[in-house]
Amino acid sequence: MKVFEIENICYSYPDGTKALNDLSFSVYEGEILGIAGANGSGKSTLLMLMMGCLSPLHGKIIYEGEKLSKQKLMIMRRETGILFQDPDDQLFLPTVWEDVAFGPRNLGLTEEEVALRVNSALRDTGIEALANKAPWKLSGGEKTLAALAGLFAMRPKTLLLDEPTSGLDPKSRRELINIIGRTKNTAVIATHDLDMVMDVCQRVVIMKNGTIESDGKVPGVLTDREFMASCGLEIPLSLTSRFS
Amino acid sequence: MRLKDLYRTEIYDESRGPFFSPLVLLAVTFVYTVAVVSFDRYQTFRMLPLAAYPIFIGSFARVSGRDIFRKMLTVLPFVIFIGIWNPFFDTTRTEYLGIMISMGWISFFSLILKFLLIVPATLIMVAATGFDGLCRTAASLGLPDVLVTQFFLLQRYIRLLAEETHNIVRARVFRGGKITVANAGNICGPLLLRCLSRSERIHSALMCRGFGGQLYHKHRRENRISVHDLIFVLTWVLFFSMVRIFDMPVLIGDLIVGCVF
Repeated sequence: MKVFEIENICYSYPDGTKALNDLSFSVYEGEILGIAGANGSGKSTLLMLMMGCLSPLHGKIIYEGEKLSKQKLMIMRRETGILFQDPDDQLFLPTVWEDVAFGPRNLGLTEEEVALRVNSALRDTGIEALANKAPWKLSGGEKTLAALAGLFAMRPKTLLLDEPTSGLDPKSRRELINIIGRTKNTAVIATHDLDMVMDVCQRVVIMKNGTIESDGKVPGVLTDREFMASCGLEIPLSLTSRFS
Repeated sequence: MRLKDLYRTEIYDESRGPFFSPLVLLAVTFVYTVAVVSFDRYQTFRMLPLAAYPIFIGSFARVSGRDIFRKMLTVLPFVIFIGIWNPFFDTTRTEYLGIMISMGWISFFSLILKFLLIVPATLIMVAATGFDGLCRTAASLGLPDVLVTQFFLLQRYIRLLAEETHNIVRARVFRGGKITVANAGNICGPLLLRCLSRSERIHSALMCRGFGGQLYHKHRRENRISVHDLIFVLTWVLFFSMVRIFDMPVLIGDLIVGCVF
């Protein structure tokens, strides 16, 4: 079943910068899809459009078979969680616990259910010890995990992750990859971290200047050195010795 | 104090035990402020016993005195600027503690004393309850949700403004740039644009987590007042009333003199 269908989407920023140009692809239930591309290729803009934070100039976004109307957008946002590139944009309540509880409370759950979900999300992301800390006192990796816990607490069907491993040290990065790898959710990961794509994604979409250059199985796409170079990317480090 | 730390209110010791409810602290601090302000502008030493309140809640909440002092220093110049005109306009001379002095200086001293009493108490209250606690109290007191949410988000965006200003100033200074009145416009423009862009991202993040304009949900509105809270309120209100009605320093002085001699 298709969760998201992106059909011929075009988007330009108000200053005229073209971000996406006639983009089409689908996200299938249960898959972890990687979206890779050089800086400015339109990955983050695409996630913003999928979450309804931006509106496409042309084309349409279909969620579970229905075009995103105001009503459908609310349903989609209840069922989809997005991790922003900068976790500081996402964390704003006085403690990590309160922040993680923000989403479930907006779902109208009882305080008991909220507490259950928050504690479970903190456990899943391994940050139970940070529950009473102020979000702005955390390190970059801890902030990302706290923001991720905020998504998990909403129990979304789909996760949209924007550069989840950027700025993380190797240990935090590995922990995050393990967490994402364990998830049973559908996930779309926009990233430069092609080794992570190798580890957790089944399919990858390569973007260049707002268009899709390739959409296919991970090993097939990521091992084509010339193609990757033409898109401003390199093959994953883990494959370098085998293919150099 | 760094620019980006100006907004911070979490200056209490995190390991502190349970404290009084925000509602109780808000109420007592309000009565305290009214008591301090109600003193005549020429009355100085009579209000000194009121210093017991900020000292008590400060030590009880284990608020860092150094941080409170640093925050007070940022406001002090404004108070001095307002009060310093009193000696020029109120030149009537009187004898005070055995010295001939103008009434303007006494009222200036009184203003500074009021500042030294009210500001620490308010800062300690905010630090001990947290801004979130205050907003929750405001919501539980029936303040409209839209106002409470605005109040809370205002604090979030002030923090954002301070962070962005800090980043821009640091970026300039590290590359040898100087901040002058002439180039302030070059800073304010990008600052505004950066703040707008970040606040849009924050708003998007809120919307993506189902934010519907209400931060404090009705079923969370709990403000149970315990017997301890009630005793706390009554004790302090009684103390403030006594300080207001009687001249405590004179009474204590008389008592000591009576006992000793």
